[in-house]
Amino acid sequence: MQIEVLLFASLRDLAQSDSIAVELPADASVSDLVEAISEQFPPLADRLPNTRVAVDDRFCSPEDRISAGSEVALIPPVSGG
Amino acid sequence: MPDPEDCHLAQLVNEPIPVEKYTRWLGEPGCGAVLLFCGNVRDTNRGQSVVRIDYHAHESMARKQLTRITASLVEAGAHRALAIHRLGTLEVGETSILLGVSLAHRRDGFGLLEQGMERVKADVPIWKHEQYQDGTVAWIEGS
Repeated sequence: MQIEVLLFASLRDLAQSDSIAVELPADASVSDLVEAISEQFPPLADRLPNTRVAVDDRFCSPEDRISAGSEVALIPPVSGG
Repeated sequence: MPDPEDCHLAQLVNEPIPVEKYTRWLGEPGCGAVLLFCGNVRDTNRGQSVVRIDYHAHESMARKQLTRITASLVEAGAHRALAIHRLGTLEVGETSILLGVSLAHRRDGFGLLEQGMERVKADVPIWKHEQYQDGTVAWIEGS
């Protein structure tokens, strides 16, 4: 399946886009997603250890599953307030 | 008992935050204490002279995270709680966030405000893009 992943802050600058399309096997986990991004989008790879994944507006654990149609986002360390 | 949904308020706004309006919203007859925290744009950061900050967000998630925080403040004892975060371009001195709680007595309110701000700083997907006096810019990631 192909998942669109939203990017924010410096990740947008690194990817030169506000989203990326990531190829994943069906029933992939969040950790599979991170590994796939690292392979498919090398400019983002160094940043992934400090980046959280959110699915449908909630932070996820590495073992959580991703379904086709989920809204997925990479969340670098935040700085609001 | 009032519906808890009516006791907390979380919003993202693109205009200056009307602090007095929200202070009135927090006030109720049973509350002797209304505590507010205003986060303002500072003119220096990490040794650089800041002229303005653009605030960016994952808006749908930021709104939900702020709602989760204000709901938790009510669960923790606030009669009312609000979190208003401004997005877009802010000049030095402008207010980027207003966090407020009201409750019967002041004592527990300070801790609730601190708890709420810690969660904003950790878990709300909003980012500063700072512009400096020398013309350079930088994303701030992590506080």
